[in-house]
Amino acid sequence: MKRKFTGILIGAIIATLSLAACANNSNDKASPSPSQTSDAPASPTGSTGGKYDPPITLTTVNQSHPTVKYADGDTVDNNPWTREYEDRYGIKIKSLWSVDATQWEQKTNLMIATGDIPDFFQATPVQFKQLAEADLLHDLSAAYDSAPERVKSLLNEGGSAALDSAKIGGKLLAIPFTGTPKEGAQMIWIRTDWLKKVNLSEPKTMDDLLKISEAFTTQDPDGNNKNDTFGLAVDNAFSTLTGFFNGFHAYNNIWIKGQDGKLAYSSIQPEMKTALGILQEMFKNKQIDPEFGSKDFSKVIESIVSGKIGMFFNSPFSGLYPLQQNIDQDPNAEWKAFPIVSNDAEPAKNQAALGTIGYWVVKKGTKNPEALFSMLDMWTEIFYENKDPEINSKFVNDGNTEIWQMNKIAAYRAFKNTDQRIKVIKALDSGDTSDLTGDDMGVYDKIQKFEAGDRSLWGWNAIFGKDGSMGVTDQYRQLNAYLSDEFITSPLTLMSERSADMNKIQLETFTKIIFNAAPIDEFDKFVTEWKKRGGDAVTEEVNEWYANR
Amino acid sequence: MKRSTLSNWPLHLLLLPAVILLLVYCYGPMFGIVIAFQKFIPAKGFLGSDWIGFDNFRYILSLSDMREIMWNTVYISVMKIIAGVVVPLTVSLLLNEIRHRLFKRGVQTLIYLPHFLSWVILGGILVDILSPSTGIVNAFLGLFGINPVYFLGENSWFPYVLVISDIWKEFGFSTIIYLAALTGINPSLYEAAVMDGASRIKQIWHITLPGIRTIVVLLMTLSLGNVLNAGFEQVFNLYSPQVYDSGDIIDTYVYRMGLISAQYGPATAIGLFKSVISLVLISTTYYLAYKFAKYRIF
Repeated sequence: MKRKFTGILIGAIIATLSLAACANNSNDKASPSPSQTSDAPASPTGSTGGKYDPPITLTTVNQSHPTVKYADGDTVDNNPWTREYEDRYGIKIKSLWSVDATQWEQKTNLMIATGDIPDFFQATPVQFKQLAEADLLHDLSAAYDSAPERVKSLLNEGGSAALDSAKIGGKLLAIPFTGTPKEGAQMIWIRTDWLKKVNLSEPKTMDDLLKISEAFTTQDPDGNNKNDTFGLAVDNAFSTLTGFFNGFHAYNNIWIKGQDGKLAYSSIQPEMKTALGILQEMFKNKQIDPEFGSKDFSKVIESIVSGKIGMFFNSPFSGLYPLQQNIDQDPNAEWKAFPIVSNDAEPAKNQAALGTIGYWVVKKGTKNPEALFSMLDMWTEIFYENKDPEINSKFVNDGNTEIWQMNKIAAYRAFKNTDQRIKVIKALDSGDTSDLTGDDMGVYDKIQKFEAGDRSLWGWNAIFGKDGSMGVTDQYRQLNAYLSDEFITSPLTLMSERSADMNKIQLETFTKIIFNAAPIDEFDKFVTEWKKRGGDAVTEEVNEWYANR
Repeated sequence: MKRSTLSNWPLHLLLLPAVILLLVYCYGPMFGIVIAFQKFIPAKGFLGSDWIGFDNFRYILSLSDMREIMWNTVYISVMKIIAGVVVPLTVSLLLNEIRHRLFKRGVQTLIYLPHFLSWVILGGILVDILSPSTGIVNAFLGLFGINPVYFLGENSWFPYVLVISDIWKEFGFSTIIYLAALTGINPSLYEAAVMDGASRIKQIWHITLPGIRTIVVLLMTLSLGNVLNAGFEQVFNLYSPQVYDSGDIIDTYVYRMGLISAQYGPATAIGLFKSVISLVLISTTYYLAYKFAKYRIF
């Protein structure tokens, strides 16, 4: 009898537990129902710049940043930015969830798969295309036409390609999250203390650069009497070779316009063969780490930080990361950025990808799409134009937290940092800081501290100082030394089907050629094979898109 | 039978949460198999995407590297399966002979430890210790006048590095299972054998091994289902384009195709294909295990 009772008890407990679990689950599912919240408060006052009364609520999903710390009582939906959205425009934000950047794509993919998308959110290019194909996106053309001028010029600063890429079938289906691809174009970072040691001057041509690489390898620039330094950094995905390739007028992984006006894949052009041949020679002469094949970018950085490599191609921002780490470790280390060099009389051009980080998409049927442009207007005003230190510490940076990252929609100016350096240098020369925004002031202070001897701020000076890398970027901009990727839409059908197969032989062949495991003529075989495995068909597909753009 | 089921109902109720979890997380998602027969567009979902029959499978078989990838997968995983039985079995037999308890426990714990490290971490460590210029392994080989070997960059070495490092990481775990099985052998059998004058080796051969035969067969049967799993995490963290020839396996290829190029249809098709093969293999070995070792799980 007693035993039976125990049995019943256990059974009852388990039943309750599992029921409770079910109930919880269903609650979780029920609570975030974006459609209800967005439909309810439809606002009569629609015009941009005005205030919605009663306030509208927009749902979104949020990418959290590790550097953002909310003040006491503040949350992802209640912070300086959201309060300002509400005060100014009567827009309330409701975040359905937030995850950090590493999980972002997976989580949003999952969300799209369930079809339950919020009023607006940041989509990747592939997601944007999928959503457009599934007819889930709102046409923003009308809202864009009435958008504030400030926002329009922000979105067009890097050229019209960004907006064009957000148009499908003539409709604007997203606001491009413009980034800084041209500003991020690669340059040559060289250890100038080594350069002095081996008695060479800064590189003007590809020949100069190859000589520097050789000297860095053979002349023991670190002075430890061991032959343990390399001339040029190479990682196994070739991300640190873009600028090097560009010096040979070879471009990696983009689509360029050929003589006949048609688009062609850049990595199979003869210029690429020349560049790979030179890299093979450098590898044979031990100027490249023999283990580059198993070193990704972060491993290569380890070598740079520990003072084994004296030259690498990377973005202008390398001053802060990774070079600052090398500076911290080695009191004698000194790096400087130089423009990329050409192997002939024709100046080198930097390959520039389409300048979008992602796309701000709006769910079909959302009542107030123009609200996004208002929010973007506020972003531009506060982040780029404000000079009031009080507003700065309230919305941008209070000295502890990057408050600006609490914004719900943003887009970056294409040459923000380049212009910032010019302003900061001017202020440093004249001592007149009245023209500086809060963000500029931060840079200004850091450079002054560096000049007073604080080497932990070396990176800021290396980027924004008089000899800073942004000066190189400015030079690129003035010469318009860019070659843009002509393929500015998300991957096409055949392209995504074939890309795994085609990328594989490309990476494999390039690695083997540099590694001297295959003769340079293997490149010709690769080109044939690439075309056979779908390259020809993909080229046709791309040109068809190009013609009907 | 029926009466005992009825009277034991609280026990069956105890099973319920596990069964529910299984249904929700293992059987529910199986519905996703339909992706293999669709031109799947996530935003349209399972029901909205177009059906394309066996096109995804045809596409996979048309890929020029499929043979190489299949071969790599089977080659690496068969070596792993064989070594994965032999090594822990040997180690557990050796440990079983050790009288010193503290030493035995110590060894057991130490060899078990790597099991808890993730391949992401081990990948970084292995790149360092196997490095031809700065790695400790090559420094050691250098003492004997052997030229540095680029273990992670040469196709002739790479599969073996995979097998050895995998065994090193996991053999402690299987060893513990075998040791547990060994304790189940009746000590009186050994006493009788000693009486009959059997040596240590004879005791192992005639008592220990037959005693754990069923466990060995069971683990073999289970691992054969994994013959097309050559270990994604491990390969992914160690390989590079240089060793695609010998190291690119089905899972890494699917990863590049399915997740990087967003080809959900073909990726699911490969997954389904793998599962079907595994099912056939498990069924066969299960039958064989019953026939030859008179062992059945169910």
